[in-house]
Amino acid sequence: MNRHFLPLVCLLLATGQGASAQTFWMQDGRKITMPPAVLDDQRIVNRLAGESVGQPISNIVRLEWPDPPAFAEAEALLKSNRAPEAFALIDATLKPQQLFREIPGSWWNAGAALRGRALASLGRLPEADAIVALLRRSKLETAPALATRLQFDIIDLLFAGGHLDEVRTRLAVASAEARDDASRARLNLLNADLLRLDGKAEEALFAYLRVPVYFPGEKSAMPAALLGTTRCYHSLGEITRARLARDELVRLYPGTPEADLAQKEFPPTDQKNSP
Amino acid sequence: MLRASGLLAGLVLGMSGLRAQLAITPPTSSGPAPPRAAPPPRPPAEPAKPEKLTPFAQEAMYRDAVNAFNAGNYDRCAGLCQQIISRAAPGSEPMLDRVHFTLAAALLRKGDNPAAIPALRQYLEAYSSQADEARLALAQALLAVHQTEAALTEIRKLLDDAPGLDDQSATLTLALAAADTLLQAGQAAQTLEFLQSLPTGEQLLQRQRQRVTDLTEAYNAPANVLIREPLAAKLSSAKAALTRMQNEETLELPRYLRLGGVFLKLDRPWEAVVVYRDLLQRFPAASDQVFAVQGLALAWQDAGRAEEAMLLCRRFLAEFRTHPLAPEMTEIGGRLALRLGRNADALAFYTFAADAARKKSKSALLSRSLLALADLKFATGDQGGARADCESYLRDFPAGEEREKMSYLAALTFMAAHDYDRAEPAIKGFLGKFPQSSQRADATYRLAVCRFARQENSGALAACDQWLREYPKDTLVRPAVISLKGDVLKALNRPDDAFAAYRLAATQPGVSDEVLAYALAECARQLGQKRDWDGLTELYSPLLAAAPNSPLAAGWVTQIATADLRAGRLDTAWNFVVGRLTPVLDDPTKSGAEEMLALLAQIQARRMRVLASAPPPDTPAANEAKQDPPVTAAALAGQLYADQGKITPLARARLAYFEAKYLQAITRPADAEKILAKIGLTETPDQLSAPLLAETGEALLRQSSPAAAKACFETLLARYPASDWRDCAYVGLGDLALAHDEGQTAETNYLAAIDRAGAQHRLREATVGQARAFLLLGRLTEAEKLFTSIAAAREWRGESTALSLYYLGQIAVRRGDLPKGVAFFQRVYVGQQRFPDWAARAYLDSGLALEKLGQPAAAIATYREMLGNEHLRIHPAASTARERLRLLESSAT
Repeated sequence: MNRHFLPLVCLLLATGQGASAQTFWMQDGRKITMPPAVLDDQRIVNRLAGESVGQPISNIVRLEWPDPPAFAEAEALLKSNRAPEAFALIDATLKPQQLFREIPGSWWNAGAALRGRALASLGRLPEADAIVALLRRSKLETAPALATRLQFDIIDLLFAGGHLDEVRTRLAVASAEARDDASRARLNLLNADLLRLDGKAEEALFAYLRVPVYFPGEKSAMPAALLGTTRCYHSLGEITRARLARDELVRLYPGTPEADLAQKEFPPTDQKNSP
Repeated sequence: MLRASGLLAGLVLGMSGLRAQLAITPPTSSGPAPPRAAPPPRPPAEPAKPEKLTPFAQEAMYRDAVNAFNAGNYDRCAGLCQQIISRAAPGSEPMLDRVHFTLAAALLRKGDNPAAIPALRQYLEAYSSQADEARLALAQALLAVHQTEAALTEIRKLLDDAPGLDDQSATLTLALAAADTLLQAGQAAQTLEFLQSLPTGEQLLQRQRQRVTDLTEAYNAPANVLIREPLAAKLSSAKAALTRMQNEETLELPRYLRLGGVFLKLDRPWEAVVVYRDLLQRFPAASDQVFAVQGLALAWQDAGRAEEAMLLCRRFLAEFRTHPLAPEMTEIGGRLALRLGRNADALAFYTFAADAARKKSKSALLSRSLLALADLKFATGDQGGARADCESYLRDFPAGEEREKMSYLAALTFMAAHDYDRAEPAIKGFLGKFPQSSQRADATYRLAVCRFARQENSGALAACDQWLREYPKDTLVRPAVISLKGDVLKALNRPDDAFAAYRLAATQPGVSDEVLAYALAECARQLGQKRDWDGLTELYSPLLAAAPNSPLAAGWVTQIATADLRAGRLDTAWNFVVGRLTPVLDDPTKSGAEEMLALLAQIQARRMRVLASAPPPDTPAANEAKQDPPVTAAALAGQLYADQGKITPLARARLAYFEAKYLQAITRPADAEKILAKIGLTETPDQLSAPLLAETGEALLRQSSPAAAKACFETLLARYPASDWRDCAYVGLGDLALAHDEGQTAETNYLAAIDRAGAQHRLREATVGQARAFLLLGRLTEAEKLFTSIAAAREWRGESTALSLYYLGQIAVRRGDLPKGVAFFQRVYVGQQRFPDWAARAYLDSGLALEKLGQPAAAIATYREMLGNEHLRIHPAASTARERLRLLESSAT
């Protein structure tokens, strides 16, 4: 019998200590809750309950797992520019779980998007693009949004690297796919940044302002929008409005890199430069 | 205020309709769901307790109530429902669901919102079958009685989840009404937050699709066979709502229009611009587009972008001329146009606003529009129009606040039209009517001007002195009075006293630029006559040092440099101008730049002459020192700009202007003409200054590019409505009209050049043009009068003399006075040979006149003389002369 029994190599569906119980809904209507299950070939097995046969994965219609702590760790590593470590961590977490990729409730796609970000940070764009494509092909409802988000993450990295032509090309594609508020807000921010780089302060201002106007709930996009708004107002000679935008940024989003930049670029004491 | 009608009435009627049908059959298991909470408290017991209703009697009474509702008798319906509730048998509360609902519906229908609100609350506490519809009705009733916060609470619940509503957009409609109420209550920030929290059109559509799916499933469910008919009605209604909502405009436009309005209220105009621009782009054909155009205009205005705002007002006027907002928008447009100095636009806006105000009896708007129109017409030289508006105001608003101002303005229109005979009594009349007027000092000064205009010099001098005694503290009019005194002294041939007066006027505190420029020019003229170049420098240098940014500064620079030029200090003059040129070169409003460039061209021409006459250099160093000064645009650019990539189109055009002026100065007018015309063909008129537009337009006209010339002239008039170069544009447009035999248009333009623009540069051309227009229109007497004046004017001697004499000959011939005609023609070809065109015409017309007079020998002699002139024999008129000569000679033989 071709069994793929790997009890020693990361077979826990939920990784880490103290992981919560996992719940599976089966084709026959049964709901099975078990402590971290063990993957045995194409089956899930509750070893703690003394099972030896388990349930075939193909019978699972939905599952409910807590996110593995590795996700948060990888996220933190990416934020601190430690992409190789983040990639290693997320790669190790994802690989054994690929079998659950298309089962509703699986976090695999979310993990794949994180892996894509790590790959893009490492400059391995074709592989990151492959993940975008994989997510787009997924049957799960949540996958397209993850694909779009990953696409924007890649564009952000390209922008930061100064590959503006590539950014423009990709934005043209991404704009058609941006359907949720988060993506639309990011789309506007990227467009605004490009316009500002082109010296089109007024058009850039409009693009930045679209974020607070249409997507006020997108708090993560707001500091960048306010910083861009401040800069554009300043370029347009709207000094009072620039000051108001800067103050709002500093007041509502203290400690963000954008607030720090705004304070640096437009110090309130510098009469000459202050908006 | 929101009225309990419209949506709510329709909604309630819909619910009642359904309930009425259901009421015919007793509730079934598939009917309304059982109560989810305890039944509502019973009404307080009455003294004589009525008998409890049996289920049968209860049903019958409810049927009566429904019938009353459907017949519109809501009082009876409500009364019956209340009876049922008060007499319901114990244990029958679950059956009272529909009764409570019908009661609330009846109360709403009769407009009794205060009573409907507790009824609906009671229903929502006890029952759930139509909870969403009841909540919607409750929210609307609360809004109607100004319980906005309570209404918002209910609306928020509906926005979170209201699967039972057949029309999901009803919540949005209500939410927008609530937003309006909030905004009216001055809670703009809260309104913004609320509007931004509303579900998107996409989300509402999704909900509506879900509702249609749910109702379809319910309709198809076998258990619902008994209520299939009402379910069909609900399904149809839901589908209709879905179809309506699929038109994106219905869902998104009203909300975003409000969003834009709220941003405006919050003084966030740039955000409002974003919203309105997006709306106009997304819904270019929407019926409510008018509000987006209006909003965008206001937003641009608040953002300080007058140009964009004015263009939107113009668009409003073009697209929504009959809309009720049109008068208001045109008034805004007029204000903006005035601020931008676009007088033609302002005139159009205010004229429309005044007409609309008259039609709609909007007296405040009419009053404001007439004021603006009168001011505008006065400023642009349309004195008759200004006077008519003043008189209209005084007639329509005999007790109006601006009566004094409009009376004075009406009197001043005569002054501005140089009609001093009518101005004087008008001003005296004004002073009689408003003896305490704040304009008294000004009016008294104007009376002195009238006396001077009538050459009553002694009287005018006395009037000036009296004014100076009477108004010692007036600083506003004083400089003008002193300057007038200078004029009078000059007329009295007291030049030194006049000079002193002009200098005094120029040094008065608060002197206006106009008076300052005039007084200084008079001083400069006298100094120039005395060839006192150092005096000229002394006159202008302190002014330039004190006010280097004055609009007159470029003129002062030119004067100082001219003094150096005249004194032979060429390098000093050159360096002085070049050092002050760069800051004004990019500014289209600084028309002094062209003056400075023309002077530089003169200096260079003089330097070149000096260099040409100097002995050849004998050492390399001397050779280098005597290098040719820059005489081309490129060479001057090299001297002025370190980075030539930064030269703007205007600066580029001005540098080319310098080259053209240099070529003129060294008598190469044809080459100069080509350069000027090229400026007009390569740069867009919008980028050019007024003098450039004037001169390039004229060059283009002479180079046979009438369309490009016309664009230059029209741009000059539109962009520089106060420029003293406008006379060139009017004359150019007159010439264009004359070329097309449009006599009337030509006359209007020539007249405007003189009356409106003051004809500071093209008085001769305007006068000649006017005379030619009269001739074209057959107004021979007027034409003759003008041509006679032109021919007699010593300062205009030259081609206009030749031309005038020729036309005077033509006028005589047209009147049948052939000898007189011949005499004029002879004056041309004898005395004006420098102008071969006119001489050739005069020869030919003289010959023809002599033929008509029966003097063939004299005619033959005339033709022969003409054809014997080597300059004239190639003229087009020569072929006719040749033909006539051949005929006359053959008939003689």
